[in-house]
Amino acid sequence: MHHPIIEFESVSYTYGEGVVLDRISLTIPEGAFVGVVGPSGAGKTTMLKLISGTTKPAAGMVRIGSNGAKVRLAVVPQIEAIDWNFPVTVEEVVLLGRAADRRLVPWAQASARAEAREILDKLGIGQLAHRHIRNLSGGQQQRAFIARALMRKPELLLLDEPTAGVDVKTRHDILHLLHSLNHEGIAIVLTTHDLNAVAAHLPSLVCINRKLIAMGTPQEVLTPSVLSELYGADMVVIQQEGMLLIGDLPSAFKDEHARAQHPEEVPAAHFGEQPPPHAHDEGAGHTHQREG
Amino acid sequence: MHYLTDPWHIGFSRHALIAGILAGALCGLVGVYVVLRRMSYIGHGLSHAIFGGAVASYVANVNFYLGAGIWGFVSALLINGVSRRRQIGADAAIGVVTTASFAIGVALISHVHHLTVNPDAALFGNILGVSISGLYILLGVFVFVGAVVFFRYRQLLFITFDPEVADAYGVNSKRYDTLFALVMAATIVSTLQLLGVTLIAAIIVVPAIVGRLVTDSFGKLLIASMLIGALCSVVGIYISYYNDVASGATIVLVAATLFFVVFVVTALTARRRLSRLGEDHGSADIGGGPSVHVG
Repeated sequence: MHHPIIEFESVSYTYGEGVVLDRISLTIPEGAFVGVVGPSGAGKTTMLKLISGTTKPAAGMVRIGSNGAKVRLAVVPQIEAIDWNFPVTVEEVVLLGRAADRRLVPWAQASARAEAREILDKLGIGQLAHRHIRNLSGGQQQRAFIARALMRKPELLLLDEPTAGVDVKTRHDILHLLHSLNHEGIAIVLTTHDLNAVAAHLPSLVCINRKLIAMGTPQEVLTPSVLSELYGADMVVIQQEGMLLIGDLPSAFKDEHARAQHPEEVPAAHFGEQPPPHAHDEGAGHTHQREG
Repeated sequence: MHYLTDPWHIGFSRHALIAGILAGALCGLVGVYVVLRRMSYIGHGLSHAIFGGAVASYVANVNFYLGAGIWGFVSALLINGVSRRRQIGADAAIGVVTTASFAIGVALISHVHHLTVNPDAALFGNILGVSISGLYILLGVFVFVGAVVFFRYRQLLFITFDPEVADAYGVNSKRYDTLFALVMAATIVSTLQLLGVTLIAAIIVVPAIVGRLVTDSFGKLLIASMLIGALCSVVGIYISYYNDVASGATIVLVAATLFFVVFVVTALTARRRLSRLGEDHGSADIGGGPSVHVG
C-alpha cells in the first residue's frame, strides 16, 4: 500500500475572473508515473505549479507527502520557456540543481561536479557538458534539464510538456528514460498533449479540462466519451495488438466512419453533399477492436 | 608616458580615476543581471526615480545617500511588485514607477523656491568633483555588491536564468528579488552624482552587452563586464581630462564606441567562420550528379 505523495482536496485556482481549475480532488501515490492530459488552457501547467508550490490555490488544499514529511521535488520546465541564448553551459545548468545548498563560494564542489558528470553520462550527454545550451538538439536540451532535476535527488519529478517539439525517436527515448527513473522510485507527473505517447508509455492518466474529467489507466480513461468530453471533439480510439491508438476524426470522414460501424443506419455521403442530420447524432467517436 | 601618469598626480583627477574604476566595475557587474533579466531600462528609470528621492531628501534636510537610497530601494521594490502582476510587464512597471518619482522631484524643484542646488550635476554627473566621502561610499557599495554576487552567485544565477522554477529548487525568488532591488538602489545612488541621471543607464548596460558578444560563460561575463566598465571609465576620464569634455558623456561615448567596434568585429568573425564552414562542407557529390555549393 503506497502512501499518497500528492493530494488535491477540492482545489480551485482562478486568474482574474476566470476559473482555471475548478474543485479538483485527486490522490497520486508514491512512486506513481502519471500523465496529465487535456486541451490547451485546461489548467495542466497550473496543476504542476500548485504541486510544486510556486502557486497557491484560491480554494481547497494541496498536500504534498504524507504524515507531514517534506518531499524533495524537482521541476523540468517547458523548453519553450527557457532563454536558450543565456550564457550558460550544460554543466552550469546541471549544477544549478544544487543552487540551494548552503555553500558560500560560487564554484561547485568537486564531488558535485563528479555527480553532475555521472548524471550527464547516465543520460547520454556527458560529452556535451561544456557546450553552450543553445548548441543542443531538442532531446539533448530536455535531458540537460532532467539532469538538473536529478541533481536534487528528487522523490517527485514534475515535467511540463517534456515531449513537445521533439521527433518520434527522441520522444520515445525521453519517455523510456522517465520510465527507468520511475523504476528507481521517483514519482513522476508530466503534462502532455501527446495522447498516443501517454497511451503507449504511461501507466496512469489524469484528464482535466478545468475540472477533473477522468483518472485511471489509459485503457480506462482513453475512451471516445471521455475524449469527447475532454476536447469537445469527436475522436476515434483504435485498439491494436494491445495498444491504444487515438486519432481525431476529421468531419469529412465522420460519416464514412459511422457508416463503417453501422452501415444499415447511415447512408453514404459524398463530398459536396449535405450529410443527413442523424449522421452527427453519434457524437463521440468509437472504440475499434482490431486483431493484430 | 607622462600622458598616462599626469592625471594621477593631481588630487581631483586621481580621485576621479579611482571613482571611475569603481563605478565602472560596479555598474558593469550589476549590468550583467540587468541585461540578462531583460530589464535594461531599469538603470535609466531607477536613476530618474532616485532623482526625485534626492530632491525630496534635500528639501526634507535628510542625508542624500540615506534619503535617495531608501527612495530608490522602495522604487525598485515597487517595480518588482507591479511587474509581478501578469497583465503589466516589467518595462511598463518601470515606466510608471520611475517617471512618477522623477515627476515628484521636478514638482519639488518648481515649488520650493529656496532650492539652491543645481540639478545639472545630478542630471549629467560630475566625476571630477567626487568627494572623499563619496569615494568611500562608492567603495563600500562596491564591496557590498561584490560580496552579494560572490556569496549568492548560484542563487542569483538561478533567478536570472529560470525564475519560474527557482522556488521549487529551494531558491526563494522573492527574497533574491528584494536583495537585487537593494543592490540596484545602492549602485545607482552611489554612482548618480558621478555619471548623472541621464547617462548612468549606458554604463550599466553597455559593458554587459559587449561582454555578452565575446563570451558564452556566465562567470566570464561577470568578470569581462566589470573590466569593460572600468576600462571605459578610465579611458573616458583621460579623454575628458585632456580635451576638456564633460566626463560622464565621454565615458558613455567610449562605451558606445567600444560596443560598435566589438559588434562589427564579432559579426565579421562569425560571417568568416560561416563561409569557411561552407567551403569545407558545402559541396557534395550525389550519385555523380552536379555539386551543390552552399555559402
